[in-house]
Amino acid sequence: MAQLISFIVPSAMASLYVFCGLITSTFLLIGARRLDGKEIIFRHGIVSSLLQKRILILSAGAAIGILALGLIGLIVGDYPIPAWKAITTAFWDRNTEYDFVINTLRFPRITVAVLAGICFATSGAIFQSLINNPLVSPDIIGVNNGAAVCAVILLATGGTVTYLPLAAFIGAVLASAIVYVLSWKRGVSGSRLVLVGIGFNALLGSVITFIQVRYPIERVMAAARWQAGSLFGSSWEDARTLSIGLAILLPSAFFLIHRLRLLQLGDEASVALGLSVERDRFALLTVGASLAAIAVAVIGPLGFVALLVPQIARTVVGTLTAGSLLFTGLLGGVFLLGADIVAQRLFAPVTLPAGIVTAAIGAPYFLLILVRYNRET
Amino acid sequence: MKHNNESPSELSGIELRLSYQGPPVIEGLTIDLPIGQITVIVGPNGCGKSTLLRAFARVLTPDSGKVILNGEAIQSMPTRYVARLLGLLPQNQRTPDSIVVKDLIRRGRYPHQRLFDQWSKKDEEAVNKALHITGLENYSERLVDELSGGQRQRVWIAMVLAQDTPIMLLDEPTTHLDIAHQIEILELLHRLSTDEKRTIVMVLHDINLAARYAANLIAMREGSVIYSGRPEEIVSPEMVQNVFDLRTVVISDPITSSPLVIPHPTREL
Repeated sequence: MAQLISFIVPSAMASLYVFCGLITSTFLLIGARRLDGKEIIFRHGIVSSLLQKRILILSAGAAIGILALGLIGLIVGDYPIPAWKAITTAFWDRNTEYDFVINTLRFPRITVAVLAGICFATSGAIFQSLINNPLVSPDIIGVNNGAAVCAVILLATGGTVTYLPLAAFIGAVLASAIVYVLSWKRGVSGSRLVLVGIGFNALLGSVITFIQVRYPIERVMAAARWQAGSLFGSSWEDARTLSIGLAILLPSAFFLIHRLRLLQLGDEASVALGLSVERDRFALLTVGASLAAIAVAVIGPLGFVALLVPQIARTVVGTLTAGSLLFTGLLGGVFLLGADIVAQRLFAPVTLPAGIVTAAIGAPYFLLILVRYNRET
Repeated sequence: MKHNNESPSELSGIELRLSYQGPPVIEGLTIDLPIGQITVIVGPNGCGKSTLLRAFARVLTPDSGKVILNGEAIQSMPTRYVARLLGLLPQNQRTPDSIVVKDLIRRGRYPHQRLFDQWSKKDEEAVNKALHITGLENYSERLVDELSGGQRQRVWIAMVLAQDTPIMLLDEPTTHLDIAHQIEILELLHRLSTDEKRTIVMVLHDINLAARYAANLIAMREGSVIYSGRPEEIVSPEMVQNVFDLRTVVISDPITSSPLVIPHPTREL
């Protein structure tokens, strides 16, 4: 009996924490809509901006959420570690018995989850605004399936796993480039992009299926696991790849956000307000697709983060601004990190790929949105 | 109060050939638009009036010929610079989901903003003024989706006003509006033209409203300008016959004494 309890308790407790956390954060998000909508004007010399108090508070909240979940992620596991020991080992005291568990297994994994979450959510926000449809995500232009085709080919033919991120990234970029070119007809319209994307995705899907039936089952299984999107085995190497990508792409996204706000008003208004519509749209698609591609390359085509997080963020903070993009990114980090902790602990010691958890949370919510969207239009 | 940009001296089209990747809608059109006045373009559906306006707004690139603004071809000027001189109320407006009134109007300030200078005093003043002129002060926090058609149109006009350009092009600013709101919008534009000497060029369907508010009326048919001048000088039964194929009587508007066109029924009376 005692054995049974000790078997259940650590995992049950951790899941319980995270579950409570999710419930609390849902209430916090609902409460946040009542938060003071005051605007803070910042002007100093040639620098000026308009900040919304609510978005600042929410972003700070999301950042705290990331830290809190990160701490939980360091502490809990098959090998529980006292909180203080976990922190000291992670940040300055490398000479403890926990060094391997913390600095090789858990800390990089947490970092990768947060960074990949930021990539997916930011990318999703860009795509949804650009195509003016809350139901799209970067996979619509073939990012996920493109990455999957290359990754599956690599794994199934027995290629080196080291090249997996590179292959996936190339696949994602190639696929989105092909969709973009096929959609071009005196410019690219959102709806044409979606339609061409759906067709091309089906084609890529069939290529994946073909490879799966054609190659030995063990290799195909490895590919299938990668396709679910898992953070298992994330290393500092992965975290570095993501950091470099974000260091380039996030500033570009924030630079382009003002243009995206105009593109939302339609092409004619955008031209009249001084945009080069096709050039700016191309730049935004490139940044959005690259953000998703880099995350897919590192952790696999994990679904629903890019689709749902921007939606949730929008219901809380309203339309697109630089602030809301920041909040969306941070919320993506919270979401993926939380999902990964649940995935690890829910059925511990058996772990799930994080993609299964995001899909399990995401799919019902997506249906809900779909129904609501359908009623509105 | 005067708008803050240098006053334009010239807006004209030279030998314009305009098409949508097919047969030309307009060919060989040369036209001068007067500065500091209201110009209204009228004509039957498909005569190319919106196309012409789109070319002046550089939304449509001419196949040949050019649009001249202040002595320079508009297509060769930096587009953001042009956006500080010339604004457009497009016919196809797209309102993003769950956007509030002030957010939409603020987006009109883009051409004046710089990378780290996103909300200057001037931006704030221009937006407040646009809200005030259009009477939307009490609606600034409302969702655009929840407003009536007339209010929504005013929000879009406020967006163009916030852009604060000496030239404003408007493609059917009164569509979907009831008669009271039509008058309200046109009076607003009239005030902008008389008080601030803005150049306003718009496409209207109603020839009577056009004749009442235009200082300069342009009538188009099949891609050509067939009449142009002050409404009192050009509006006549022959003119309406030639432009719209419609038999009419033209009398003097009892209020403004501008020409008032009264169509004949096509059946026998």
